[in-house]
Amino acid sequence: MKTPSNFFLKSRKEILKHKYLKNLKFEDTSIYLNSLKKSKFSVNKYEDFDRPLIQPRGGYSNINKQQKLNIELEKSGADLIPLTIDSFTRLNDYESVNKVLIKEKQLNKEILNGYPLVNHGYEKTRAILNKVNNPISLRHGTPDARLLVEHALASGITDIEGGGLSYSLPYSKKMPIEKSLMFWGYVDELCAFMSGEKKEIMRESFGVLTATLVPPLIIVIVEILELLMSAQKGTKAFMLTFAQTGSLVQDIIIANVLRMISKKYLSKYNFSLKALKLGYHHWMGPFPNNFDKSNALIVQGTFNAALIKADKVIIKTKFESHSIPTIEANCEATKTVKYILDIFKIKDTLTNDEILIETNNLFEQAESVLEIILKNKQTIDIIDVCDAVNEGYIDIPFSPHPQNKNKVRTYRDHYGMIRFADYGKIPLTDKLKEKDLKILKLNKNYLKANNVIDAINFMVSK
Amino acid sequence: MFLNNNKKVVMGVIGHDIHSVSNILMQQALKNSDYDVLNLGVETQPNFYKDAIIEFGADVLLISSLNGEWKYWIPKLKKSLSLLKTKPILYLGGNILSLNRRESELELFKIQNYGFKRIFDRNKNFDYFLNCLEKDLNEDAE
Repeated sequence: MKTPSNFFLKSRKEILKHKYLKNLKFEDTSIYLNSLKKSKFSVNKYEDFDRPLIQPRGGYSNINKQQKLNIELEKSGADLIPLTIDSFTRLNDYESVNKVLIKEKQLNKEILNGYPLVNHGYEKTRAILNKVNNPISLRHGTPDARLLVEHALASGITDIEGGGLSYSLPYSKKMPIEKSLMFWGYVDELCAFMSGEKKEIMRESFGVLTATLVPPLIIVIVEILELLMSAQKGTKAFMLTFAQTGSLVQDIIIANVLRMISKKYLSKYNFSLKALKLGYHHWMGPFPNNFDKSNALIVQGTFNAALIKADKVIIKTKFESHSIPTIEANCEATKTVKYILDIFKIKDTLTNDEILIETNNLFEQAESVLEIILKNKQTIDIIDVCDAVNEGYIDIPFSPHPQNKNKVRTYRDHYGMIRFADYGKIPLTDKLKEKDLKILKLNKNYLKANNVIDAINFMVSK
Repeated sequence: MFLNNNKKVVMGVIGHDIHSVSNILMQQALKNSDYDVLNLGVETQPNFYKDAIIEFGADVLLISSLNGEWKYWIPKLKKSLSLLKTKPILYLGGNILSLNRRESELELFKIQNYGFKRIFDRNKNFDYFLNCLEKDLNEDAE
């Protein structure tokens, strides 16, 4: 267990007094996590598999329904069980959750779009999570997740998604980035504090971002910064992630660069992790309405996950464009993905000259921007990360966040690769910007309004 | 102060919903079609719409919801808008109706009762939306 900082201890004391976390004592969570079997920690799961682990998505407001979902998903072959949180909890609006839960009871109908973990509380949640053998992963989108993660860890959840950049820039218009990074610093330190030998809490970044024409360079920068900020707080297990871009070649390039550059920067700052993994999200943009096409897209995403040798694939269902998936649809998707991954094994990732050139280009770009952001200091300074957002060095297309500059413009080329049309304020030399702009020059049509919409609706407009 | 005759649209994503992409694209499409747009963006609570409609003198209110929260927030919006003397044309867009036919018919009925003139359920065609908007505004003027 990591020795906690004074700042963390002081903050935790305050958080444990919160109205919605009254009964939890300082040591309760670590005692409970210690009592769990090693198999309940996702970090230990990867050694047993020569294919990506399968993790569906899912959360219901009704406790019994959530329990049923967990059990059915496990039976269907899910290696990691999700607990997806509702959107009120994501914005810390626990009072409204209370009102909605009362209304749900009156109407005998679900209104919330996920599991309200803080309101149900860790004690009830513990009881349902104990009914499955596999590790549980917390999926949310909460810029201030301190209370939520306290409940999650106390419930026995050992896999925590999110980060100060990836859960604020795409998910909030009200949370200042400076605060979000501090709040996620608390979460990282909490996860480090609760980690034991072979019982490390896995922290997972959300490299999907807005899932809308996000260029690989931004994904890589956000992922590496969140990795380094987390490692500095003492976490020992971390997962970098990104979502299917629409181009298999680009997916391979991103995976290559994330693997290479993460090792380089962990070593540069002398951070030593027990586990560094790569997660791959099925297509996160608009899904086809048509079930046949949705299923085809799920199959394609699953192949891609295998081809890039992802450690985990976070899957979608054919209901994606319609509503929150039913338990049956989620199980069906899990079985489909399992079938493919169990029979489709590859030894090495694919490569060719184009992949090598683009991999080197992306690596050079990312390294160049990271060096400017991190200013060659001995440690990672969150003020430098805030500055990077405020200066527009980190600029995520279609972000609702007011601090995001929204100067970057991107397009899809003929082969579906996402490229820069305008680098905004991202500090790169002309030489490093050359390739994307050159391709754009050859076909300015890529930027026309309908083409941008088509590029976003890439999987539905065919 | 706007000194032109452009029609005015207030828009936003209701409740705690943070789906920003279509909201940003729709704002652009409306501006390109010479509408004056006040975009309240994501995470907008019902009362803000009422205030914005009064302040801006909106002809149209376009609400979107992708994560299903509309069921909770639209009744509150209706209550809030009931205080207005003149109501704008109301539109609702996003992922709205459920897949179950009977359930979706009930939802549609409820939405119409809340005063929405049209719903654009899973509509990805901005031209269709803009044509409907033009037609409804012309009818309203007559």
